[in-house]
Amino acid sequence: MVEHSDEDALIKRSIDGDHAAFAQLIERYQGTVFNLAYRMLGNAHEAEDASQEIFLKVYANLARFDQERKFSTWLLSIGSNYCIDRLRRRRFAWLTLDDTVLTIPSPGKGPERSAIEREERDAVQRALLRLPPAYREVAVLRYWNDLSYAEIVQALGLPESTIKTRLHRARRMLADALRAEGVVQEEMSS
Amino acid sequence: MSLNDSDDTFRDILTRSGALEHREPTADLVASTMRRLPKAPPRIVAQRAEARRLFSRAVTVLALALLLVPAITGAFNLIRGVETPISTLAGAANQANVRAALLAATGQRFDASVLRGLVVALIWLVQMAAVVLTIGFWPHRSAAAGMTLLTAPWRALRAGFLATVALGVVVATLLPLLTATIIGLPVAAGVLLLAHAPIALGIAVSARALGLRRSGSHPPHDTNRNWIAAAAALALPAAMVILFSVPAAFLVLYLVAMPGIGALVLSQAGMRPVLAAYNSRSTC
Repeated sequence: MVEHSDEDALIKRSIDGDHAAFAQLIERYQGTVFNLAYRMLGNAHEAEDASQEIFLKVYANLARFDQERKFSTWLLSIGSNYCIDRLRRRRFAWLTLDDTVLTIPSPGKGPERSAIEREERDAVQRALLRLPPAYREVAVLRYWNDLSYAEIVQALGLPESTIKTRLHRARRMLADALRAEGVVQEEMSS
Repeated sequence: MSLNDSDDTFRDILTRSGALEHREPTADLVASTMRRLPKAPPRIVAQRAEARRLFSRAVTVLALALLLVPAITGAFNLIRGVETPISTLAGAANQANVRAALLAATGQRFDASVLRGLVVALIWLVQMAAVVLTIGFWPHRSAAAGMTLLTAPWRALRAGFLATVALGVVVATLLPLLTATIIGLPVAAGVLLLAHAPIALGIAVSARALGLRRSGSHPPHDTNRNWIAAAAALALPAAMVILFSVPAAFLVLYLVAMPGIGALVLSQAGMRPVLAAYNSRSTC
């Protein structure tokens, strides 16, 4: 509760042009926005650039933010719209394999286990990037940003039935891709 | 339980694979965003953005009006049989006088062979400059379209042919209408000039494709030397033919540019390249 009112205060100060307050908001949400952009765009450098653009958009639209709404949902709504837009008008970029894979192993695990997990993470990321952007967006918001159906409805401005259909199809397509990659076997028998 | 139908099972799979782990940005997002943040408060920033949006919409409407109003007026003039400015100008200007004036301005001062050499060099240089500028401004897009041309050359040629014919039909329809009014004359000149922009783009894409083929690598590892050499070769035929016939030179220009124009169409101006060989390596 304290954190929520603290956030409200930061938003109000940011609307009045207080840059320090807005910097605190960025600090608080940079991970969320970066991960959304990374899952949507599939490239760390592009995700960093997109995150900056998203925060700039948030700043430009802050005066129109309805404080009855949850700030994080509004932020993710701007973020996912921006990523979809960016995917549409994406300039041709030359991606190296290093950009599309996750290479940081978790500490405390053996090299073999780390390698297997890295492969699985990469497989999921590749499968995610093969989804159509509209499905990818819903899957990212649901599984990576942990949004409820109601929050996704608010963020994307789509009917709940559409969200559920897209999520169902996204799951099915991801499942097919992961089955093909051999990431999971037994759970796949549908 | 089926994975396809279960939200929780799916989440479990993602969690176990480690795919849900958050990734940390490598750059300092706070500092880099704050550097780019406007000094004005959000309300002013929003007002400025709205003003820019309105201005851009007004410019679009103005450009459309500039094209459509003279064209519609011209169509009425032609239907009513009013004498058009272009026919008045054509009547007043005697072609023999024009030729004499040109000879006086050029032929008397230069030796004919020197003049021919200068014309060839000038036309060649103009094409080269257009290609260099195009690739300089759009390095990624020209490369993407170039790779599309290498991947699907016949489809690109077909698309280029259709696009060129369509452009020709549009220009041939618009020009008589625009030149039927005085205000339409400068607009017609602009349209004529813009209609030739695809030549530069097409030659640039063809040059990039040839450069890529010569270097045997894919961007950004291809070298400038290869596409510059290709552009130099592609620009030569039209520069030579212009000595004999200007319309033939334009025909050669469009023929050379046609595959590149087609590749631009197929790749949606380099935004969505057709890359059979690279699809598996790129997320584009």
